[in-house]
Amino acid sequence: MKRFALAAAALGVLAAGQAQAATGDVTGSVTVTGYVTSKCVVIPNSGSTFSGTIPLGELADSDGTLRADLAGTSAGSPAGAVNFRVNCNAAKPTVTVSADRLDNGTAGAPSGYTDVIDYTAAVDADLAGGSTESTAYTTAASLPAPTVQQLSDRLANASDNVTVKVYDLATPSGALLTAGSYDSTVTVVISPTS
Amino acid sequence: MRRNALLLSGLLLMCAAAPAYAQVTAIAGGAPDHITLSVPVTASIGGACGFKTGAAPSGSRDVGELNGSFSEDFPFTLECTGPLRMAVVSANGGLLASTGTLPGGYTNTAPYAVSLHIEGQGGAITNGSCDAATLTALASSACSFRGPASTSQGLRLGVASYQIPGSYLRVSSPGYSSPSILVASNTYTDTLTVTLSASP
Repeated sequence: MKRFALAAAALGVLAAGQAQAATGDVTGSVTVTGYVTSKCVVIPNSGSTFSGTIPLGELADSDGTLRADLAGTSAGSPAGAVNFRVNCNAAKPTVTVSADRLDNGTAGAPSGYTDVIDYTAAVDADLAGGSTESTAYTTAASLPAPTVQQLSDRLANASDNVTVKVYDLATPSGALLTAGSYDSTVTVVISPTS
Repeated sequence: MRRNALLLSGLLLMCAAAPAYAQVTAIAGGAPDHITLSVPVTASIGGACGFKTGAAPSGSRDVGELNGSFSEDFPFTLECTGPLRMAVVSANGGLLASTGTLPGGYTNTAPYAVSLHIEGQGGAITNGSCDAATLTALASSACSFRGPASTSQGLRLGVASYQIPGSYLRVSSPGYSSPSILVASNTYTDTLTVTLSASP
Protein backbone atom coordinates (compact mmCIF):
# COMPACT_ATOMS: atom_id res chain seq x y z
CA MET A 1 0.00 0.00 0.00
CA LYS A 2 1.33 3.17 -1.10
CA ARG A 3 0.52 6.03 0.88
CA PHE A 4 0.92 9.60 0.14
CA ALA A 5 1.20 11.76 2.99
CA LEU A 6 0.72 15.37 3.01
CA ALA A 7 1.80 17.17 5.99
CA ALA A 8 0.55 20.57 6.31
CA ALA A 9 1.96 22.71 8.94
CA ALA A 10 0.54 26.01 9.56
CA LEU A 11 2.77 28.33 11.44
CA GLY A 12 0.92 31.40 12.27
CA VAL A 13 2.71 34.33 13.76
CA LEU A 14 0.18 36.98 14.05
CA ALA A 15 1.06 40.25 15.60
CA ALA A 16 -2.23 41.53 16.71
CA GLY A 17 -2.45 45.26 16.83
CA GLN A 18 0.64 46.05 14.79
CA ALA A 19 0.75 49.71 13.84
CA GLN A 20 0.38 50.60 10.25
CA ALA A 21 2.89 53.36 10.57
CA ALA A 22 6.43 52.24 11.16
CA THR A 23 8.03 53.62 14.29
CA GLY A 24 9.66 56.99 13.99
CA ASP A 25 8.89 57.27 10.32
CA VAL A 26 7.25 60.67 10.45
CA THR A 27 9.55 63.52 11.21
CA GLY A 28 9.54 67.24 11.70
CA SER A 29 12.60 69.36 12.32
CA VAL A 30 12.87 72.80 13.84
CA THR A 31 15.87 75.01 14.46
CA VAL A 32 16.14 77.42 17.34
CA THR A 33 18.73 80.17 17.34
CA GLY A 34 19.64 82.98 19.69
CA TYR A 35 22.44 85.28 20.64
CA VAL A 36 24.16 86.77 23.64
CA THR A 37 25.42 90.31 23.29
CA SER A 38 28.76 91.35 24.70
CA LYS A 39 28.34 93.07 27.99
CA CYS A 40 29.89 93.81 31.34
CA VAL A 41 27.69 94.21 34.38
CA VAL A 42 28.28 95.05 37.99
CA ILE A 43 27.26 92.41 40.48
CA PRO A 44 24.94 92.57 42.32
CA ASN A 45 21.99 94.08 40.49
CA SER A 46 23.56 93.84 37.04
CA GLY A 47 24.06 97.57 36.90
CA SER A 48 26.42 99.51 34.70
CA THR A 49 28.15 101.59 37.33
CA PHE A 50 30.04 100.93 40.51
CA SER A 51 31.37 103.31 43.09
CA GLY A 52 33.25 103.25 46.31
CA THR A 53 35.47 105.32 48.55
CA ILE A 54 39.09 104.88 49.47
CA PRO A 55 39.58 106.84 52.71
CA LEU A 56 43.20 107.80 53.25
CA GLY A 57 42.69 109.69 56.49
CA GLU A 58 45.14 112.30 57.64
CA LEU A 59 47.47 113.07 54.78
CA ALA A 60 50.14 115.07 56.59
CA ASP A 61 52.80 114.04 59.01
CA SER A 62 53.36 115.98 62.20
CA ASP A 63 55.79 118.24 60.33
CA GLY A 64 53.15 119.20 57.79
CA THR A 65 54.57 117.34 54.85
CA LEU A 66 52.97 114.33 53.15
CA ARG A 67 52.90 111.30 55.39
CA ALA A 68 55.92 109.19 54.69
CA ASP A 69 53.95 105.96 54.81
CA LEU A 70 51.66 107.24 52.05
CA ALA A 71 54.58 108.41 49.94
CA GLY A 72 56.18 105.05 50.30
CA THR A 73 53.25 102.95 49.17
CA SER A 74 53.47 100.74 46.10
CA ALA A 75 51.37 98.55 43.85
CA GLY A 76 52.01 95.62 46.14
CA SER A 77 51.33 97.63 49.26
CA PRO A 78 48.88 100.36 48.31
CA ALA A 79 47.66 103.24 50.44
CA GLY A 80 44.10 102.10 49.97
CA ALA A 81 41.93 99.85 47.83
CA VAL A 82 38.34 98.91 47.18
CA ASN A 83 36.96 95.77 45.54
CA PHE A 84 34.13 95.19 43.11
CA ARG A 85 32.66 92.36 41.14
CA VAL A 86 32.22 92.84 37.43
CA ASN A 87 30.96 90.08 35.12
CA CYS A 88 31.93 90.30 31.48
CA ASN A 89 30.90 87.71 28.90
CA ALA A 90 33.44 88.85 26.33
CA ALA A 91 36.72 87.07 25.84
CA LYS A 92 39.13 89.96 26.51
CA PRO A 93 37.60 93.01 28.16
CA THR A 94 39.30 96.38 27.99
CA VAL A 95 40.13 98.38 31.10
CA THR A 96 40.46 102.16 30.95
CA VAL A 97 41.74 104.12 33.94
CA SER A 98 42.09 107.82 34.60
CA ALA A 99 42.13 110.05 37.68
CA ASP A 100 42.63 113.58 38.79
CA ARG A 101 44.98 114.86 41.47
CA LEU A 102 44.06 114.88 45.13
CA ASP A 103 43.11 118.51 45.58
CA ASN A 104 41.77 120.46 48.53
CA GLY A 105 39.91 122.88 46.31
CA THR A 106 41.67 126.07 47.38
CA ALA A 107 42.67 128.70 44.87
CA GLY A 108 46.38 128.05 45.11
CA ALA A 109 49.20 127.45 47.54
CA PRO A 110 52.00 129.87 48.36
CA SER A 111 55.60 128.98 47.78
CA GLY A 112 56.71 126.07 49.95
CA TYR A 113 53.20 124.78 50.23
CA THR A 114 51.01 122.55 48.09
CA ASP A 115 47.32 121.85 47.88
CA VAL A 116 47.54 118.96 45.44
CA ILE A 117 48.92 115.45 45.70
CA ASP A 118 49.78 113.29 42.77
CA TYR A 119 49.38 109.55 42.99
CA THR A 120 49.02 106.39 40.97
CA ALA A 121 45.64 104.72 40.55
CA ALA A 122 45.51 101.15 39.31
CA VAL A 123 42.91 98.54 38.49
CA ASP A 124 43.79 94.95 39.21
CA ALA A 125 41.71 92.51 37.18
CA ASP A 126 41.60 88.89 38.28
CA LEU A 127 41.53 86.69 35.21
CA ALA A 128 39.80 83.38 34.64
CA GLY A 129 43.13 81.68 34.20
CA GLY A 130 44.18 82.60 37.71
CA SER A 131 46.52 85.51 37.05
CA THR A 132 46.00 89.21 37.69
CA GLU A 133 46.62 92.06 35.26
CA SER A 134 47.03 95.63 36.42
CA THR A 135 46.25 98.83 34.55
CA ALA A 136 47.82 101.91 36.12
CA TYR A 137 47.49 105.67 35.70
CA THR A 138 49.61 108.37 37.35
CA THR A 139 48.36 111.89 37.81
CA ALA A 140 50.39 114.99 37.01
CA ALA A 141 49.96 118.74 36.69
CA SER A 142 49.01 118.11 33.11
CA LEU A 143 46.86 115.02 33.26
CA PRO A 144 47.94 112.33 30.80
CA ALA A 145 45.50 110.50 28.58
CA PRO A 146 43.66 107.62 30.18
CA THR A 147 45.49 104.33 30.30
CA VAL A 148 43.81 101.70 28.15
CA GLN A 149 44.63 98.02 28.32
CA GLN A 150 42.93 95.01 26.80
CA LEU A 151 43.10 92.08 29.15
CA SER A 152 44.68 88.90 27.88
CA ASP A 153 41.92 86.63 29.20
CA ARG A 154 38.38 86.62 30.50
CA LEU A 155 37.67 88.17 33.86
CA ALA A 156 37.38 85.59 36.60
CA ASN A 157 33.78 84.73 37.39
CA ALA A 158 34.34 85.42 41.06
CA SER A 159 33.60 87.95 43.75
CA ASP A 160 36.00 90.89 44.14
CA ASN A 161 37.50 90.26 40.72
CA VAL A 162 38.25 93.96 40.23
CA THR A 163 40.35 95.98 42.67
CA VAL A 164 40.84 99.72 42.44
CA LYS A 165 43.80 100.93 44.44
CA VAL A 166 45.93 104.04 44.95
CA TYR A 167 49.59 104.27 45.88
CA ASP A 168 52.81 106.22 45.51
CA LEU A 169 51.42 109.55 46.66
CA ALA A 170 53.74 112.44 45.94
CA THR A 171 54.17 116.18 46.51
CA PRO A 172 57.04 118.53 45.68
CA SER A 173 59.91 117.73 48.01
CA GLY A 174 59.51 119.33 51.40
CA ALA A 175 56.22 121.02 50.51
CA LEU A 176 53.76 121.60 53.31
CA LEU A 177 50.18 120.46 52.72
CA THR A 178 47.66 123.20 53.12
CA ALA A 179 44.85 122.38 55.45
CA GLY A 180 41.59 121.21 53.96
CA SER A 181 39.71 118.27 52.64
CA TYR A 182 41.38 116.57 49.74
CA ASP A 183 39.51 114.52 47.24
CA SER A 184 40.01 112.96 43.88
CA THR A 185 38.16 110.64 41.55
CA VAL A 186 39.45 107.53 39.85
CA THR A 187 37.45 106.71 36.76
CA VAL A 188 37.40 103.10 35.60
CA VAL A 189 35.71 101.83 32.46
CA ILE A 190 35.56 98.12 31.73
CA SER A 191 34.37 97.37 28.23
CA PRO A 192 33.35 94.00 26.78
CA THR A 193 35.67 93.96 23.84
CA SER A 194 36.31 90.54 22.39
CA MET B 1 -6.59 -3.77 -3.73
CA ARG B 2 -4.35 -0.96 -3.67
CA ARG B 3 -5.59 1.69 -1.59
CA ASN B 4 -4.43 5.12 -1.87
CA ALA B 5 -4.47 6.73 1.34
CA LEU B 6 -4.22 10.31 1.86
CA LEU B 7 -2.74 11.19 5.05
CA LEU B 8 -3.18 14.64 6.13
CA SER B 9 -1.54 15.67 9.18
CA GLY B 10 -2.39 19.02 10.37
CA LEU B 11 0.12 20.41 12.66
CA LEU B 12 -1.04 23.66 13.83
CA LEU B 13 1.35 25.89 15.55
CA MET B 14 -0.91 28.66 16.34
CA CYS B 15 -1.04 31.41 18.82
CA ALA B 16 -1.25 30.32 22.38
CA ALA B 17 -4.89 31.24 22.47
CA ALA B 18 -5.76 28.79 19.68
CA PRO B 19 -7.51 25.58 20.82
CA ALA B 20 -5.53 22.34 20.86
CA TYR B 21 -6.40 19.75 18.20
CA ALA B 22 -5.99 15.98 18.38
CA GLN B 23 -4.24 14.43 15.38
CA VAL B 24 -6.80 13.18 12.85
CA THR B 25 -6.12 10.76 9.96
CA ALA B 26 -8.41 10.85 6.92
CA ILE B 27 -8.55 7.76 4.64
CA ALA B 28 -10.08 7.76 1.16
CA GLY B 29 -13.30 5.79 1.29
CA GLY B 30 -12.96 5.54 5.00
CA ALA B 31 -14.29 7.52 7.80
CA PRO B 32 -13.48 10.14 8.12
CA ASP B 33 -12.53 10.71 4.51
CA HIS B 34 -11.62 14.33 5.06
CA ILE B 35 -10.53 16.67 7.69
CA THR B 36 -11.23 20.31 8.15
CA LEU B 37 -8.37 22.66 8.73
CA SER B 38 -9.21 25.83 10.53
CA VAL B 39 -6.70 28.60 10.09
CA PRO B 40 -7.69 31.73 11.95
CA VAL B 41 -6.40 34.90 10.44
CA THR B 42 -6.46 38.03 12.58
CA ALA B 43 -5.37 41.55 11.88
CA SER B 44 -6.03 45.03 13.08
CA ILE B 45 -5.67 48.50 11.76
CA GLY B 46 -3.21 50.34 13.97
CA GLY B 47 -3.99 53.59 12.33
CA ALA B 48 -2.22 55.74 9.81
CA CYS B 49 -0.37 58.55 11.48
CA GLY B 50 1.42 61.52 10.06
CA PHE B 51 1.57 65.26 9.85
CA LYS B 52 -0.84 67.04 7.59
CA THR B 53 0.94 68.03 4.42
CA GLY B 54 2.74 71.30 5.00
CA ALA B 55 1.82 71.30 8.68
CA ALA B 56 4.72 69.49 10.32
CA PRO B 57 6.70 71.37 12.94
CA SER B 58 9.41 73.06 10.93
CA GLY B 59 11.33 76.23 10.37
CA SER B 60 13.81 78.32 12.28
CA ARG B 61 13.16 80.84 15.03
CA ASP B 62 15.49 83.41 16.50
CA VAL B 63 14.55 83.68 20.17
CA GLY B 64 16.74 86.74 20.67
CA GLU B 65 19.00 87.64 23.57
CA LEU B 66 19.37 84.50 25.65
CA ASN B 67 19.84 86.24 28.98
CA GLY B 68 16.23 87.31 28.67
CA SER B 69 13.04 85.25 28.62
CA PHE B 70 11.55 83.83 25.44
CA SER B 71 8.73 81.62 24.26
CA GLU B 72 8.22 80.51 20.69
CA ASP B 73 5.67 78.06 19.27
CA PHE B 74 6.00 75.75 16.30
CA PRO B 75 2.42 74.74 15.41
CA PHE B 76 1.61 71.46 13.68
CA THR B 77 -1.43 69.51 12.57
CA LEU B 78 -1.73 65.76 12.76
CA GLU B 79 -3.49 63.27 10.57
CA CYS B 80 -3.59 60.29 12.87
CA THR B 81 -6.57 57.96 12.78
CA GLY B 82 -5.76 56.42 16.13
CA PRO B 83 -3.72 56.90 19.29
CA LEU B 84 -0.23 58.20 18.75
CA ARG B 85 3.05 59.03 20.37
CA MET B 86 5.25 62.02 19.65
CA ALA B 87 8.87 62.38 20.69
CA VAL B 88 11.66 64.92 20.35
CA VAL B 89 15.44 64.73 20.10
CA SER B 90 17.64 67.76 20.76
CA ALA B 91 20.90 67.89 18.84
CA ASN B 92 22.75 69.99 21.41
CA GLY B 93 20.79 69.69 24.63
CA GLY B 94 20.49 73.45 24.77
CA LEU B 95 21.34 76.43 22.65
CA LEU B 96 25.01 75.86 21.93
CA ALA B 97 27.50 78.47 20.71
CA SER B 98 30.53 77.49 18.72
CA THR B 99 33.30 78.77 20.92
CA GLY B 100 36.68 77.55 21.89
CA THR B 101 37.54 76.02 25.19
CA LEU B 102 36.08 78.04 28.03
CA PRO B 103 37.57 78.61 31.48
CA GLY B 104 35.70 77.71 34.61
CA GLY B 105 32.80 79.98 35.39
CA TYR B 106 31.75 80.37 31.75
CA THR B 107 29.42 78.39 29.53
CA ASN B 108 28.41 78.33 25.89
CA THR B 109 25.19 76.39 26.40
CA ALA B 110 21.95 78.16 27.21
CA PRO B 111 19.31 75.88 28.72
CA TYR B 112 15.69 76.01 27.63
CA ALA B 113 12.52 73.97 27.90
CA VAL B 114 10.73 72.02 25.18
CA SER B 115 7.00 71.53 25.56
CA LEU B 116 4.53 69.49 23.53
CA HIS B 117 0.84 70.27 23.38
CA ILE B 118 -1.21 67.82 21.34
CA GLU B 119 -4.91 68.13 20.75
CA GLY B 120 -7.09 65.19 19.72
CA GLN B 121 -10.61 64.17 18.94
CA GLY B 122 -13.31 65.07 21.42
CA GLY B 123 -11.27 67.77 23.08
CA ALA B 124 -8.61 65.40 24.31
CA ILE B 125 -5.31 67.11 25.11
CA THR B 126 -1.94 65.86 26.26
CA ASN B 127 0.94 68.02 27.45
CA GLY B 128 4.55 67.43 28.34
CA SER B 129 7.57 69.57 29.09
CA CYS B 130 11.24 68.78 29.57
CA ASP B 131 14.58 70.55 29.61
CA ALA B 132 16.35 70.34 26.28
CA ALA B 133 19.30 68.79 28.12
CA THR B 134 17.21 65.68 28.74
CA LEU B 135 16.32 65.31 25.08
CA THR B 136 19.70 64.45 23.66
CA ALA B 137 20.36 60.98 22.37
CA LEU B 138 22.92 60.43 25.12
CA ALA B 139 21.19 62.13 28.03
CA SER B 140 21.65 60.01 31.13
CA SER B 141 18.43 61.26 32.66
CA ALA B 142 16.17 61.29 29.68
CA CYS B 143 12.89 63.07 29.24
CA SER B 144 9.84 60.84 29.00
CA PHE B 145 9.28 61.96 25.42
CA ARG B 146 12.83 61.81 24.18
CA GLY B 147 12.78 60.42 20.68
CA PRO B 148 12.64 58.64 18.45
CA ALA B 149 8.97 57.88 18.83
CA SER B 150 7.77 54.29 18.86
CA THR B 151 4.67 52.44 19.93
CA SER B 152 5.97 52.64 23.48
CA GLN B 153 8.12 55.78 23.53
CA GLY B 154 6.98 59.36 23.42
CA LEU B 155 4.21 61.56 24.70
CA ARG B 156 1.02 59.62 24.09
CA LEU B 157 -2.33 60.89 22.94
CA GLY B 158 -4.86 58.12 23.51
CA VAL B 159 -7.26 59.17 20.80
CA ALA B 160 -7.07 60.09 17.15
CA SER B 161 -6.07 63.54 16.04
CA TYR B 162 -7.07 64.24 12.49
CA GLN B 163 -6.70 67.77 11.17
CA ILE B 164 -7.44 69.25 14.57
CA PRO B 165 -5.82 72.66 15.05
CA GLY B 166 -4.10 73.86 18.17
CA SER B 167 -1.17 71.51 18.62
CA TYR B 168 2.27 72.98 19.00
CA LEU B 169 5.85 72.48 20.09
CA ARG B 170 7.06 75.28 22.34
CA VAL B 171 10.59 76.36 23.21
CA SER B 172 10.89 78.67 26.18
CA SER B 173 13.06 80.05 28.94
CA PRO B 174 12.29 82.30 31.91
CA GLY B 175 15.69 83.92 31.39
CA TYR B 176 19.17 82.68 32.00
CA SER B 177 19.99 82.46 35.71
CA SER B 178 22.78 79.94 36.18
CA PRO B 179 25.97 80.98 38.00
CA SER B 180 28.16 80.43 34.96
CA ILE B 181 28.45 83.39 32.64
CA LEU B 182 26.90 82.88 29.23
CA VAL B 183 29.61 83.89 26.77
CA ALA B 184 28.87 86.45 24.11
CA SER B 185 28.15 84.91 20.73
CA ASN B 186 25.67 85.15 17.88
CA THR B 187 25.93 81.48 17.01
CA TYR B 188 23.73 79.88 19.65
CA THR B 189 21.65 77.16 18.01
CA ASP B 190 19.87 73.87 18.53
CA THR B 191 17.90 71.56 16.27
CA LEU B 192 14.90 69.58 17.46
CA THR B 193 13.85 66.50 15.55
CA VAL B 194 10.22 65.54 16.11
CA THR B 195 9.08 61.99 15.36
CA LEU B 196 5.64 60.50 15.37
CA SER B 197 4.35 56.96 15.70
CA ALA B 198 1.00 55.26 15.86
CA SER B 199 0.48 53.85 19.35
CA PRO B 200 -2.36 51.33 19.45
